[in-house]
Amino acid sequence: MRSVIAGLTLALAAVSANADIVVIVNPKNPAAALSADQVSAIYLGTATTFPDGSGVALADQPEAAGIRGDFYQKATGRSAAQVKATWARITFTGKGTPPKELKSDADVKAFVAGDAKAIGYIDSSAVDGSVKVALKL
Amino acid sequence: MRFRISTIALAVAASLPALASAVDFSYSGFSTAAYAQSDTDLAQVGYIGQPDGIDSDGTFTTDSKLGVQVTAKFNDQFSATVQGVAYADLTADWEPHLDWAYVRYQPTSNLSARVGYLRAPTFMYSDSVFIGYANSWVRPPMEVYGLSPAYQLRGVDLSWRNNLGPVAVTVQPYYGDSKLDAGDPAMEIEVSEWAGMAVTGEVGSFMFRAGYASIELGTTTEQLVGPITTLRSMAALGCTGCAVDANALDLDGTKIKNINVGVQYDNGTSIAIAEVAQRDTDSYVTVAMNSAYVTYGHRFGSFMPYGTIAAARRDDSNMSSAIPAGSPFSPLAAVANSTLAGGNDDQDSYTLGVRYEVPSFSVLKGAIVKLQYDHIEAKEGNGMFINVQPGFDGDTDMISASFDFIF
Repeated sequence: MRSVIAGLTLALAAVSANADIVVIVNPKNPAAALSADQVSAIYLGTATTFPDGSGVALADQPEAAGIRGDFYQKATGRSAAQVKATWARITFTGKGTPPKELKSDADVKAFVAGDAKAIGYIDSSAVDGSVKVALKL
Repeated sequence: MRFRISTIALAVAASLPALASAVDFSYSGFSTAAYAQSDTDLAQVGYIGQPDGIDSDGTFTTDSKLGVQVTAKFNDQFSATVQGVAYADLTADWEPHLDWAYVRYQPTSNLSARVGYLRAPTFMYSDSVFIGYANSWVRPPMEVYGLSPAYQLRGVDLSWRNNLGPVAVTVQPYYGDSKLDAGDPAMEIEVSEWAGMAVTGEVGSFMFRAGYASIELGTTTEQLVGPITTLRSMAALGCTGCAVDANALDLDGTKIKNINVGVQYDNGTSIAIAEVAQRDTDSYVTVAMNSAYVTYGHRFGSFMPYGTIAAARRDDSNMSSAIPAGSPFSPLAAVANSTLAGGNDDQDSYTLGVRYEVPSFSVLKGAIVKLQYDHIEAKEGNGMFINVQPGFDGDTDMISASFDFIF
């Protein structure tokens, strides 16, 4: 019984850890924060700039990572597959390039820390001073 | 054409090693394997001018596609893209085409200019109509998308984005020319001048779009050269109606205006699409039409059932009455009348389908399976059916299945 409760507690902890996704930008980005609508527009290709007009470089998480589906569902109300279809339309009509797929939270963080135009999303537990949190989902 | 493609390929191949270090290359592709079969062999579903379409024999040709795209990004401003797509064009032969080949210059994030082989955004999804993976249906509603089969624009386009309050507005003017191979044996139709503009507004789950295009054709249909010459010689003898009919039969000099508006609502769970389109022309070969469709789909997890209702109506203002009945020239009206009878006419269609997202695996970045049922009814004449045989009762049921994926 005790092990079942411990298991449930662990499972709950895992769920709540997964639930905390943050959208990160480079510390040099002048935007203090981004709204959910702004992040959605950027990740659906509707917006090609940050609110101040500067260009964006998008980072994505791996296909297999659970955070990818959670992020798209929360930020855009769409599944990762639906978003992929949206980017297929953009890619094959030459209107843009899809988010760059990186391997992990650490890689996304490094990408965002190294490019003033970058935006990405990671688990909140991975945040450090190299990046700025623009939105909590 | 073949020479030109190989020249470009050679030039690209030759420059690859030298540029590879400085240039960021990306490769991607899309494919649709689709089968469709109707319940009649007396008429076919396809684009007007196609010598072969979908009938009771079933075919993979009409809707299947394979596209590969290579983009070379030189820096933040300049990139070059080549996209080759194999599909059945208006000659109905399934073969490779150099669909896109352009250089893109993007001075700012909101402005880009392209020059080369492009795809004109005639209707809401015209430039992405081959990307089955991104579209709701197996094929776009023919009542609207069959109105302008010219896809490739050889020229320039501009894309300018700006925010008007909460609305993201994109203005895309374009200009150029084109050519179409149609029929069997293939005849080349010049599109001598093509200018247009698409304006799109996106806010939240809504997208609104208006499109305008002005097209001038530059080739006379071979079978009509004789009758047109006769009509013009009679015009010289005082038959004013003969001159009107001759001009309406001659695709050389024919002007076509495509005007359309569309709206898409997609909140992630439900998708609704509506487009209304008008083809405005005096031509008897490609007649004036008004068309519309509505599509609605609702997602249940990976499944999305969808339905479409579409209608096309011929604008009768271009019916031939130029040569009055009873005039000594009235036998000459026969060519005009038979050409008009063979053109697009009133048609309704009803579509039900289901779209299923296959979990991604292996090299497939994503895949979709679609099953679709269409009921198509010619309401006047032959509707928009092609290759109609005597005895066709005017309606058909059709089933389609497609497997769409990107890689």
